Amino acid sequence: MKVTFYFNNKILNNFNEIWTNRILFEKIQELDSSSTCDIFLIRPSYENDSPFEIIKSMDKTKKIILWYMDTLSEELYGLHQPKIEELCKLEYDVSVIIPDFHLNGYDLSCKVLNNYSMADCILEQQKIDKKLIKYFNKNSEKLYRQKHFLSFNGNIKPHRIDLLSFVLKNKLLPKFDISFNSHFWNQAGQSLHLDLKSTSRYTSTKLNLPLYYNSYIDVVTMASSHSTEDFPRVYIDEKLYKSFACMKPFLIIGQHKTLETLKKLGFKTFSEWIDESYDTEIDYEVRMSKIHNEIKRISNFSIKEMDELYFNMKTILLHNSSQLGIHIHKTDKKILGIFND
Amino acid sequence: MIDIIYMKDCNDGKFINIKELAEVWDNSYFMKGFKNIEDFVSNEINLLDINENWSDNFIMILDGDNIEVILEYLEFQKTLISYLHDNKCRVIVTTKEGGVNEDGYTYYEFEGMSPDHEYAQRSLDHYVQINKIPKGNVVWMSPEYLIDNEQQKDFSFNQRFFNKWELQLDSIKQKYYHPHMLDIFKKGKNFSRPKHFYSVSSSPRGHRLDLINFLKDNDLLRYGNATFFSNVHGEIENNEFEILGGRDFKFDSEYYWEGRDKTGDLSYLPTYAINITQCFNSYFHLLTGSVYETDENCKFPFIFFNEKIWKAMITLQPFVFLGQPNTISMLKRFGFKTFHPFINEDYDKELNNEKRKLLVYDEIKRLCSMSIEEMDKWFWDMEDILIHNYNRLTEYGYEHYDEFIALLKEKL
Repeated sequence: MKVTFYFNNKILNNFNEIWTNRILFEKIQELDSSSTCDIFLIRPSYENDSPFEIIKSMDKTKKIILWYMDTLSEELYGLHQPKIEELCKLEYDVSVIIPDFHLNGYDLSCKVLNNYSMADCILEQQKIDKKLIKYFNKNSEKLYRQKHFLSFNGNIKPHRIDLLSFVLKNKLLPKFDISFNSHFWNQAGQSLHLDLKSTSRYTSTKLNLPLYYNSYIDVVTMASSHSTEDFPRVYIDEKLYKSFACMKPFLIIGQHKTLETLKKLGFKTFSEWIDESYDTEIDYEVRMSKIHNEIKRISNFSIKEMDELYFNMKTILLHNSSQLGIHIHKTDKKILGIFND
Repeated sequence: MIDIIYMKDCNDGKFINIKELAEVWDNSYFMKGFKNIEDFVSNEINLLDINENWSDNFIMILDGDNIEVILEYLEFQKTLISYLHDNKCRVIVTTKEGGVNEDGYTYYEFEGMSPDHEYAQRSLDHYVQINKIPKGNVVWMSPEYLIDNEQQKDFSFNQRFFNKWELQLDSIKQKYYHPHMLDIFKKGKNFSRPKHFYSVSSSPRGHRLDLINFLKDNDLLRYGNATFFSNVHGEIENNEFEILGGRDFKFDSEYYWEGRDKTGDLSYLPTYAINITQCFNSYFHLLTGSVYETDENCKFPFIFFNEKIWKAMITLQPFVFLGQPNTISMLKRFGFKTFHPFINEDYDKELNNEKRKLLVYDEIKRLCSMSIEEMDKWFWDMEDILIHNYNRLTEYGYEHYDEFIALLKEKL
């Protein structure tokens, strides 16, 4: 297939700078088709990545894909939506690929499909570390872990501040391996560092197995906790995929209905052992309060009880670990279908 | 072929005769993982039945648990005594865990006692002398390294260093930990580690209690993962000592004393088990020897090598060692590399027990005062040393078995 990729509105010659969906891009390039296609890779938070004016100067016979590489906030979506609609009205053959799941559907007249944000990188890492993951799993059978929870909070966000405040207020710090504001160094007293080096910040796709296997449950603070009743949406990224790869159960501090979305994607959650009613709670304060209560309750477990709890979840953890690859495969297949239409 | 009668104490004070070659791989003298000893056992050993006619040139291996049981056995073997006396055989004796008793004292100390002392009558030295056995026909092998070979002159038997714990741990490394440790180590370059040190000690001893107090008094426990006395198996009674840190190994005590666990996986046993998660979440290992106190005027200064140093090498960690003096220099003699100038190892030369402790404490304080960034750089600057030691463990094991094989081949 003759496909041209644009990144930052310039033609992309290789995928060296691309951090996700790379393998899928290579598959698209290898498709056996005579049609032509322009794919615009868009980082929503970068102003220069708005491709609409360039597209309007282009030939309408080509297929055009607007490929969002990262979450698109409600505000930015509001800005992009009319521009996409305009392209549709101008009869461009446009499709949109976006990692955000809009639970009430997309108000776009073109085809919209979901991709994933960095799931493929984590899968790749899971494959690289396959033997070690197996080794740590086996090792877990003879070792108690030290902590109840693991939580990474590299960038400051309101829901992460709330989590840390709750942990500190309730003197739960000893139960946690927790980082906070750890992307920013040399701010004495304002950061909690776990494993991030100041010299190599971009390790988010690598699996720190000794740290993951030092605790029983991940408290995953997602990129966003914002979602409204009118515009419910879910964005999932590598933080959660890492929990799948490292066989960890999780509590999610993020948008409501994230667990519901995961289940739709074929993953399983832990309602038999963890009160997951927080997931359906639209109100942020109530949702957080429910999660905090659950963290408090689990914190009272002894390490031996945590260990038993963990191993009771083993079947689900194994399922999620292998589901990661299945999820990617299914998503890729759907996206590749666009090019076969 | 070398004729060997292999007797093994089965923890009940009675020796059984091992007659099948497959049964010698019992993790005392003979450990899997070293081709030289495996080939030697397969091709050059002829195991004898103790109840059949003995040849005029054989070796008896007495693999025991404690010297008293061994001595009791030897004293009752009148034919054996005559064979030993007449240069027809050699006996190699050892205890599984060396000569260190529960109080941390070694049986060598019995040698300096007056002949009237109750222990003096129960020593190997006494046995050899009273039966007029030629010196070379009784070999005491143990994990105690006599610092000065001149000391041999004072024994009535031959003492040979058998680095049992090194061989044992490397055998386990090869089977259960290699190459995963190297992989985890190398991948760890992407991350910093949350803690400065890791320290684990099961049996309560004076120097370990002092160490806990030092760490507490100086608020240093927050820099490390420390587990003291929480993995013990019967040593602590009536909550005599405070347990520090949570139990981290899931041992089944029913199986522990039988030297195995339900799965047959030796790496599950407390002495051999390594908490790799804690090791790879910290930068250095704070090791405590089984023996600490050293008498500056001791007639037989020795170093007892327990399992801990080798564990730190398996997990590629530098270490500070609170134990007997000269241990670090002895490791260098074995071909390992230690950590000067990254760690001030002057403590190793200090014979005074109190002064040595203070030197170790100073170094712990200095290391804990480093930021994680500094510690990370400090750690990776030692990468070559850590990899050298990891590899050297196996090389050394081979060399050590070569020496053992040479001993077995030695003519009477």
